[in-house]
Amino acid sequence: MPDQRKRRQKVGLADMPEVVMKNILEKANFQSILKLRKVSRDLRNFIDDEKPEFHLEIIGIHMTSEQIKIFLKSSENKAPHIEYQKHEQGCQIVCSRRAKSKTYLLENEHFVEVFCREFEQVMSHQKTSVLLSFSLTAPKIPEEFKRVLMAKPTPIKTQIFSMTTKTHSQVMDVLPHMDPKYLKELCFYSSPTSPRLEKWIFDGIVESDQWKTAHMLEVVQFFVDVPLKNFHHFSAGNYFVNAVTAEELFELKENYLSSNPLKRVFIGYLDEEPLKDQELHALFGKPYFANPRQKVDRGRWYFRIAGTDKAVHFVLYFAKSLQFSLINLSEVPSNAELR
Amino acid sequence: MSVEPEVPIVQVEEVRENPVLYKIISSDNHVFTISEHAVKLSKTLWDLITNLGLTAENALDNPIPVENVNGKNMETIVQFCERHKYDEEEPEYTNYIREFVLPEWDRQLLSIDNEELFQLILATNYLDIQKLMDYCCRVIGDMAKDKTPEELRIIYGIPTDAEDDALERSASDSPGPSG
Repeated sequence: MPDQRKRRQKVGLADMPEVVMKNILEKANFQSILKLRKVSRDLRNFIDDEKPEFHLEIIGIHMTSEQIKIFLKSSENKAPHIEYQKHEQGCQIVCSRRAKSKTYLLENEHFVEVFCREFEQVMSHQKTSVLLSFSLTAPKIPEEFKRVLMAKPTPIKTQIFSMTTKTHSQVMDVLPHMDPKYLKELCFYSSPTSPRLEKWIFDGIVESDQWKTAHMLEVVQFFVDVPLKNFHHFSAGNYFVNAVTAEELFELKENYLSSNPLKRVFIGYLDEEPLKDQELHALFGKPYFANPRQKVDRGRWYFRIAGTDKAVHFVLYFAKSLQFSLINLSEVPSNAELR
Repeated sequence: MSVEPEVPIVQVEEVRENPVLYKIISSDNHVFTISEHAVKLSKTLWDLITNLGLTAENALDNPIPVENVNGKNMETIVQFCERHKYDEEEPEYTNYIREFVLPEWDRQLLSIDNEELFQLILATNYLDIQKLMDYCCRVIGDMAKDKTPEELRIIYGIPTDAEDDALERSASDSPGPSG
């Protein structure tokens, strides 16, 4: 810390003991910390040694073959966007905050390398605090970025992990670098250029701790090609799978009645092997129709959760989709069978 | 040490019955009384009180001299400690910036000149009052919002690198303790 022997008439920040200085930086937002770094050499050295937490809430990264854009947000609303663009002389950086923007040119530098360096720097100040969301959009993950993730001493702590990419093979380049301890929600999207309604192989993904600890899932732009038993632990979700069978749905229902909590799960399926009504009815019993003469769905079923005043509500829609949700017993129609 | 209480004694409103009161004398000989629950917020003072063996009976007859803290800072500190003496323990914040909101009363109390605030922090550091330290540091941290580095240099009373170098030179020119 700044030398205490220097005598000044006024007491200022430079006179604060080290423990106080750490405390102040711990409570400053990341923009303030970065500005303090520019105030004096002593402060810069102190900040670079101490690496005070930035306490970011959201990190969003958007990569294309021409540029990388990063969005950093702490609890204040004025979040900057930084763009690292390919430029014929090197890397052009555009920082935008609200309506203002500044442009710099780093000659003979590659934009991916500059981005990776700065990302590493930011993440070195984001070690203990937990992000609300980390989202990455990249059709293809650059090798340099993979290296940065591999070299990170601690995994990224975030509650939501969201990734938009071209194929399933990119997911495992990034997902394992999220700390499973804090993950609550996983979201996977396909890049606009990927073929629609594609099947993605999630074999390695469903084996990961990150998949197993999250309890919310969103996958709606492609079909996940793994058996439904891999989805039992999600209490909330909106996902498309390759196929569902009556047995698998029965197991899923039993799972909600016995072990895993349910909020609401919506499942779409590709239905290459059609889901047969008679198989369903054999396992689930006769469905309930609000108006049997004018059916709006393929049937509804209600299952009481033992020892509670709640029920699992299962609806099979016509449009290759279904929903399980948790409802109060009072919401079960009086003429419906409560199983 | 005989001290004439010529300056007004800060009387503190006491809501619970039969409070134990302690007397503190600041560096400029101002006398303060503070309740037992409040003084416990200062680790330094409470250690001193336990080490001196002060009790409910003899506390007021044995004022505690605090030579590193002046009356102005002590007054703020006593007010703060009395205000927060029955506080429950603060939760562990996973993200202090997001979750912690400085109460309005405290924001008012700490709405003082920056240099005064730094003086208060030094006093708080000496008296080891964690909660007040956290609050002051939050105020200092918040000051940096929407300022340029130049403005921060002035707000925080930080010399420029050039001034720093000049100070260092003059310090090394003058003879040190060893001659």
